[in-house]
Amino acid sequence: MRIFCATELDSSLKNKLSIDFIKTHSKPSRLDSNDYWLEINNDLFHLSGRNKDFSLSVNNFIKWSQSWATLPASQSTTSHKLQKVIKRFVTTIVDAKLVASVKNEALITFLGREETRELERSWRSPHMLPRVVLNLKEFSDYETCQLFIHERGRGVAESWSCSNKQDITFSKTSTNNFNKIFNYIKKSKSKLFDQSVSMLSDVSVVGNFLAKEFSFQNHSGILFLSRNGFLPPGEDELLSFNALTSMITPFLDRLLTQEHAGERLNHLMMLMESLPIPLQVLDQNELVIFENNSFKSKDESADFVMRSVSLSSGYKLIIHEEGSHSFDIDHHRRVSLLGELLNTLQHELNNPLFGLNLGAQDMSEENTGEVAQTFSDIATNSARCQTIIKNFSNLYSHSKNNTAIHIKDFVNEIFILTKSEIRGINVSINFHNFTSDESFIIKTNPTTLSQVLFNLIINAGQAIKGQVSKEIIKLNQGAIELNVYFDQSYIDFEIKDNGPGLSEEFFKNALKPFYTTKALGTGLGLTISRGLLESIGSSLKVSNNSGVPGANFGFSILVSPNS
Amino acid sequence: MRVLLIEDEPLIQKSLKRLMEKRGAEVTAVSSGKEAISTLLTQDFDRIICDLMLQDTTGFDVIEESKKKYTREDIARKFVIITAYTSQQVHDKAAEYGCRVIGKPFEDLNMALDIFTLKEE
Repeated sequence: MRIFCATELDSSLKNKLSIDFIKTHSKPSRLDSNDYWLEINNDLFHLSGRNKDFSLSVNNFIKWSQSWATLPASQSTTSHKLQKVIKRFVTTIVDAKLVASVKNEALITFLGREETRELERSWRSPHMLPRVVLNLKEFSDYETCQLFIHERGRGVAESWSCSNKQDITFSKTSTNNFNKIFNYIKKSKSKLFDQSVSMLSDVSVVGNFLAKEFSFQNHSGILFLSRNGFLPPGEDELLSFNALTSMITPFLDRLLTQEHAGERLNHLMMLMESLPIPLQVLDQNELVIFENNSFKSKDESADFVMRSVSLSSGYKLIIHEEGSHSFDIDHHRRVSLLGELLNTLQHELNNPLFGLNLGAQDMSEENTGEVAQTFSDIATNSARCQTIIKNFSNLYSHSKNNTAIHIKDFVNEIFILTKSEIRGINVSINFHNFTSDESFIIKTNPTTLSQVLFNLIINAGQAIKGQVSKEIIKLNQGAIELNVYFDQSYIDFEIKDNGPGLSEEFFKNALKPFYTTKALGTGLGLTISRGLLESIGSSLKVSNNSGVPGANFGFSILVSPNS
Repeated sequence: MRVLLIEDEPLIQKSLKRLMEKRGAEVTAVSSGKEAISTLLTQDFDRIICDLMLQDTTGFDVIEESKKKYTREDIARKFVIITAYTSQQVHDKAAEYGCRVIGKPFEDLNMALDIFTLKEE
């Protein structure tokens, strides 16, 4: 820093300033960032720099100029030397910690082998700072060093104090008290204190002391250093202390952040450790570096599916899922809940609807003409309401039993259930190779079959509606075709739509859980359909229509002869 | 021919009563199990049509109470259970008493009415 001035300074004052002082006649036309033009008006020193103007008293002017001296760029001899030493020290330790090299030659040269070992052992956490400071040669004649750290958002601040260069005493203080001390230290310009200040009750230093506050992203801290004497620290000491604190600031921040991250890592590890899903973590070389409890105790006989998740660090997380996937469980829960709901609804609606039906039939008999017809319609419609609710209830029933069903009626009922989803779309249902009316009667699990058909029909309807909303086709051009083929012991189902068809990406992902092409889809429909089909020994075949747009879903079910 | 109808859904009760009366039956309709039992014990009926799920009790409890007056054979002959819950348990229990179960809604109204008014072949 350079100061330009038109008047000569008093020599005693000049000696106290460790800055370049240049006498000129007038303010230089161009000032560098660290240049100031000084005008003295009685006792007031007015300084104008490139970006700011300010006035200081004589004392403050001296302090201000000295504060410049503590910066690394300063040429001041003693503090500069000290800073270099501390900087090297801090860098080596940070390097030693981060690189984790046990033998750091620079550090050993600086501190000696024994002390290096001790430091590497003790510098695992920022809380060791008081001891480290007291063990530095430059501060060897100090007796007490105390560090307060407050993590933002917490109700208490923690403190670590060292008094004999060995033991560290831990204590806590309220955030309120910490803030009081912090603000007091922050406001003080001289950074010289004595214990006459009553609020410093939790500070363990005695007599006069030096203090410096730190403010970081997640933490704030205060460092106290004292000889525990009643002579105020000299200016040299203040300089050394300031140099120490300014060098230690980034380092402390880094250690606190590391510790903070470390705590979060610990929580994460505990979580992973106790998660009831078997987990492994592999490093870049595919070596296992972590296995959780659930993995160690997993049932070897059970069927597991491995899922690998690549982490940004290059590590890999391997999740072992049991054969029955969690989404199946979710589906099962949802179906049970819906089943219960619909069952309740069916029973609650059954009586009033039946009453309506009986009453209307009675009235229809007693009247003639239009009135009789209207009552008859009411009777028919109330009966239809009952059928619909009963079919919905069956769709979500728990039944695992094979039942004889008439496939034609069965399919028609499912289309009634999907009516609101496919309204306006042309539907054609074709039965092939059924030889007699009896051959339509098959034995299967009606719940599973109806859920799969229901899902596939609704999917087809939604695919067509997507095209309609994009104005590619009109709703009345939409077509869903269901073909049912009788083939001795099998019945083949084929559901075709004239929607957009399926992309290549879809074929890669279609059957993965949570993959969806719909904005509001859950991506579970096909996975569930596939799961349901597997449960009755079938599988879902997916393809695009040949020649024309649209998708084609197919499956076969084995039917036991109806005896 | 006297019929006792035990049914707590007003519209069903009213409509069935009218439909049976049109077929010439004399119908007494009650809505609760308690009412049904007191009516049963004081009056004579040729047919007792009993809803299974009543507000205060079940149709089976009504049958149990009627044992004070009727023999097993009487019960099997007179009682018809109507219910929306046509589970296997209901059928098994009804079979113990030897009486019929007709699910609600009736598949065939006329056939049901014939049973209720003792006109079946």
